[in-house]
Amino acid sequence: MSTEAPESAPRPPILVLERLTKRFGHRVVLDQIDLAVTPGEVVVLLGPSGTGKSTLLRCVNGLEEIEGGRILFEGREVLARSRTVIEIRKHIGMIFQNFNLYAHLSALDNVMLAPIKVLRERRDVVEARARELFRKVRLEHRMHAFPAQLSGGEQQRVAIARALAMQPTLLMFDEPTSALDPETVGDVLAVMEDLAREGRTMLVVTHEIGFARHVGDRLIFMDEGKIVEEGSPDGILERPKNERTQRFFSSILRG
Amino acid sequence: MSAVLTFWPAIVKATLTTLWISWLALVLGGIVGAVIGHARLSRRRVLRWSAVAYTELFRSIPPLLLFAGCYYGLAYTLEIRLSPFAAATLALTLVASSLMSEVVRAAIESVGRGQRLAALASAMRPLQVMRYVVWPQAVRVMVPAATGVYITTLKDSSVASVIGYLELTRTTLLVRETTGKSFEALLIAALIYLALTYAISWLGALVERKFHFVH
Amino acid sequence: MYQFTIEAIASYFGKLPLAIAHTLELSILTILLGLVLGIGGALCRTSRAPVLRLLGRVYVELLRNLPLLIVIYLVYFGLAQLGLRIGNFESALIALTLNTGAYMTEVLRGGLAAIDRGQYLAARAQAMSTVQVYRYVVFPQMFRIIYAPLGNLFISVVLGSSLASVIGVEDVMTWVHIVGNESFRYLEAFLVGGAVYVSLAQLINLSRLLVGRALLRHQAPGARA
Repeated sequence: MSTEAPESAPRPPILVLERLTKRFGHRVVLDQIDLAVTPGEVVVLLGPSGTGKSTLLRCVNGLEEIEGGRILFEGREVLARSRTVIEIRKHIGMIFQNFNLYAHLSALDNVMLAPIKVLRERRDVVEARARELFRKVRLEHRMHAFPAQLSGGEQQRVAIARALAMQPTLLMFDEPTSALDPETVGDVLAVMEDLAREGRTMLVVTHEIGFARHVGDRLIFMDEGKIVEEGSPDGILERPKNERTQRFFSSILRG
Repeated sequence: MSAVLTFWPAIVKATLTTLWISWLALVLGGIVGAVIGHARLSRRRVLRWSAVAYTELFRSIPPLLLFAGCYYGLAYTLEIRLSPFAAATLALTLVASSLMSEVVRAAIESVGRGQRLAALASAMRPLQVMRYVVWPQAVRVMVPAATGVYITTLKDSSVASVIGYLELTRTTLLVRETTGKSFEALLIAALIYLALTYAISWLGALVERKFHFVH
Repeated sequence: MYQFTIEAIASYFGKLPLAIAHTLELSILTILLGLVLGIGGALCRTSRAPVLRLLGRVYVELLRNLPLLIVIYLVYFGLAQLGLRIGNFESALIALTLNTGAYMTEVLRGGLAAIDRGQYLAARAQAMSTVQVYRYVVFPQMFRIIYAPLGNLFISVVLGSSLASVIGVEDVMTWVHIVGNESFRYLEAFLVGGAVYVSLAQLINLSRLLVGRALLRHQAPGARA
């Protein structure tokens, strides 16, 4: 999916959240969220921990049920309990904070499992694609290692390759670098930057302000389950309109 | 001692019988236990509570009562006359299944929730998640605990002697009655049981190591 | 068709309390004596003398791998052949105690091992005597760790006591057997007997849960839950 310079007609949004509401018991974790992501956009979700950002991602691919509102992916409604959600998950790639690689499979097998068993693609086709992806994330030499033998950064890059192997139209990153040592964070962010430059649609939850500024097309600041502020990276970071946004960024930039 | 040893063919046969029925109970109990273990983790409350009730029930009944129930109880009450072998196997299987259900449950839970989420996120169906991600890892984790269950069924099989099943303990008692040499007969039986449990532990460790090698 | 009626065995209910009493008597004595044996075993296994350590290890391995029934027969028949004539209740008690003691040893040993070395050092550094160290620092912490496996062990003892019936002890299991064989109402007898054992086991289970909850509440704030 490569972007051509200047788009003449606006593309329909790939993901639409309408008044999305999610509760855990009595606690409202997501409060009437409205959001639209257009193809090729890199949307970054920022905000204090525990404000529902990760939950939002999990609602999008139906891993969590919602209590109100609608989620539309490529025009189709995401209903967590239905069988159609499986179809939708084939087109959304998810990268987790804790990598969640399959411990009993080598890195290569981790990447090949879903395309073979879910998309029912031929093994040789999938293997070729997998090898190409390992080249892309710069881990060809570690293809046959097991997750236990890989560093955190390496595991996360394998996880990215695993998500890409399904050839998704949307990539969701749930705090991809939060569990990594500072030295390896850069490797993972570099891969994510490559993906953004390729024109992939990405929804990223992160604390990495640098990444948000350099790679993000649009920044969204969330607090207490609501979208507080939304805009271009420079716009929000330099001139935050909202007081809460201001406080959050100053505390991050200071600490 | 020689008086007892003249019965060695019967003793050998009894030993094999003991090994066989314990193994049978382990396998059958494992299958039933796996079902119950999964039910224990189900989202539906009815399944969960039934599984808990089942497991708790067979952990609260003495094996002897269970054996007697399967043999005498079924015969008198429902006119189902099971052979001592069938009754013993049934009772042992019930015990093994409740033990194995806990083993299976723990093994499945030991496979982190995150891996399951990742698999679901890749559009795998729940059964595929089990088959390709959870079970391969759970099986490996189960080996040491399953070895323990096998040893337990081996020991419980001695209770089958009470309903007349010709396993090692019953045979030993018959030898005792015939030769009058209680201590020697029971000593030999004790040694055999010890040898069996050690052999099983050793084999279990071997299997465990083999699995790890694959990693 | 089989007619299920509890009334059919009602005449035998009079003998049930005594049977239950025997079961409880055997179980409680076993637990107490088993505890003593377990303490001895744990001391042996953690002792500095290699002979004691070996003794402890052999004892545990032996009694944990032998079927309880074999131990009972060994004590009852085997010792009789060697000249010692022991009553059936006593034989059962000895056998059960030996068996329980082995498991008790391991529970206590595990509990001791789980306590950080530093606790001893800190207590000693505060000039506590050995007795005080154990009484105020070690045992309280140990109890927290072992109360759960201990509860399981108690249940095993109660259930295991049923094997005493094979050498003639008149406990609940014997009651079931007699009632079932005399009245042919095996299902009713089985259910009543089963209910007794299940109730006893679940009572112990409940106590264990309550103890657990009580311990949690008394935990000092800031300590690991």
